[in-house]
Amino acid sequence: MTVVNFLIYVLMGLMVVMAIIAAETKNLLSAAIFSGFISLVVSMLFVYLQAPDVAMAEAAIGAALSLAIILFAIKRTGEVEEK
Amino acid sequence: MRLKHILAWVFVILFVGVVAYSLQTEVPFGHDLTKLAKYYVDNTAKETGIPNFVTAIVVSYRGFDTLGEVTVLLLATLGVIGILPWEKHEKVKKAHPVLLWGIRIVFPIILLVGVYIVIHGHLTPGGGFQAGAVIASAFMLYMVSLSTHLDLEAFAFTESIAGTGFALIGVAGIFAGGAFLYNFLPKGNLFDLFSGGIIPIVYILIGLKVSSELTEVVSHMMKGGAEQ
Amino acid sequence: MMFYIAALSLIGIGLYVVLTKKNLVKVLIGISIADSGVNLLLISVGYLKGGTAPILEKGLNKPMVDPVPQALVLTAIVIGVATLALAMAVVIDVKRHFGTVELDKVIKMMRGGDGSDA
Repeated sequence: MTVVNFLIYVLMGLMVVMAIIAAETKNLLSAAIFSGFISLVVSMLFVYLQAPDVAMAEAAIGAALSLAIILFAIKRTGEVEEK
Repeated sequence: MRLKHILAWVFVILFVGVVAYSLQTEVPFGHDLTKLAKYYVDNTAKETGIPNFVTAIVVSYRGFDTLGEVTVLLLATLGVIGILPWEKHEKVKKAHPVLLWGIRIVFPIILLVGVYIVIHGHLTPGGGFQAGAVIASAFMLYMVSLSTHLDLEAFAFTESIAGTGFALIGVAGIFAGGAFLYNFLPKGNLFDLFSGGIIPIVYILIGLKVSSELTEVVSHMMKGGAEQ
Repeated sequence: MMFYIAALSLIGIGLYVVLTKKNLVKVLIGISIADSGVNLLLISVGYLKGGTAPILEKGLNKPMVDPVPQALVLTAIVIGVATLALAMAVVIDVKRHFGTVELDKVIKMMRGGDGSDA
């Protein structure tokens, strides 16, 4: 196992852990930030999978615009999820 | 309540296991190219005259699908504008000076990167969709920091000109070569900036359309709709 | 194989959020996570071992990965953000109408008629 492979596995594990935290947390703001971070990690994995076009699109849209849209919506609807 | 969550987790784990196993047996990771992919890899450079195959598929081979896709984007934008209409009179609050001057320095650089990405869309990674997102995020930063009202009429005008131009180029292909979006301009040399016929023109139009639409979506999400 | 498992885990966690959570914004965050997972799954199906990116280079003669899923995913990402914005606009409208975005309260108001004007 090379260093790059090891880093890719670490990134994938981090991604899944982030997704579980985003699913279980009660604070919508942190859930939104974690989903933006997941998009960023996915775009890194796209670069490893030899898809630079898609990586650019995912980094620009998933980590910036989509996160901004979720944050604007949270600002207008309240940031704590009730039980 | 706990039982529902446990059942949902069991469902998720079963879903992941079964689908991963069947995918690995049917299309193993890193398998050989399919017939269609082999055709594209072998013939794209000859047939379209551009080195970026993803751009060739998006704009040339599947150009009609892309026209439908930007139509979906237009409809979603119209939906957002209809649900959250723009409100003219609202207080403009001053941003922090650090943010203000930072954005003033960064904004033209982001814009320049976006323009570079869309102009070289047929030679290097990138293109209309990526550049549209980059330019829209630049305008989003501008709106967040300066809290000024951008002239949304200008974005609507750019969007309609770009969409109409895309459709008109497609119709011109019918008269010039007998097919919608036929590549009727000379192809030029491979790897040249001015090459590929209509592909760079169409991708620049897509970039203008996507950037103006996403800017409108973000500005309406940010300020549109009457608050109670 | 690891890429399949990671992508399917994202899809599964997104489905879990959609199934169990009551907050509409949280449900949309789950859908966006599942969206990233679907994109990753499609790209990893098109991967070729030892392949290069599907962009021709002068003097480079190596096999390429499949360009078709990449073109597919490129448009899917843009469509995804547009539909997410539309859904978020609807959620903001729900908040304006009912005063809450919790799904069970909204359903109760719609059934019982004790909402503002529902």
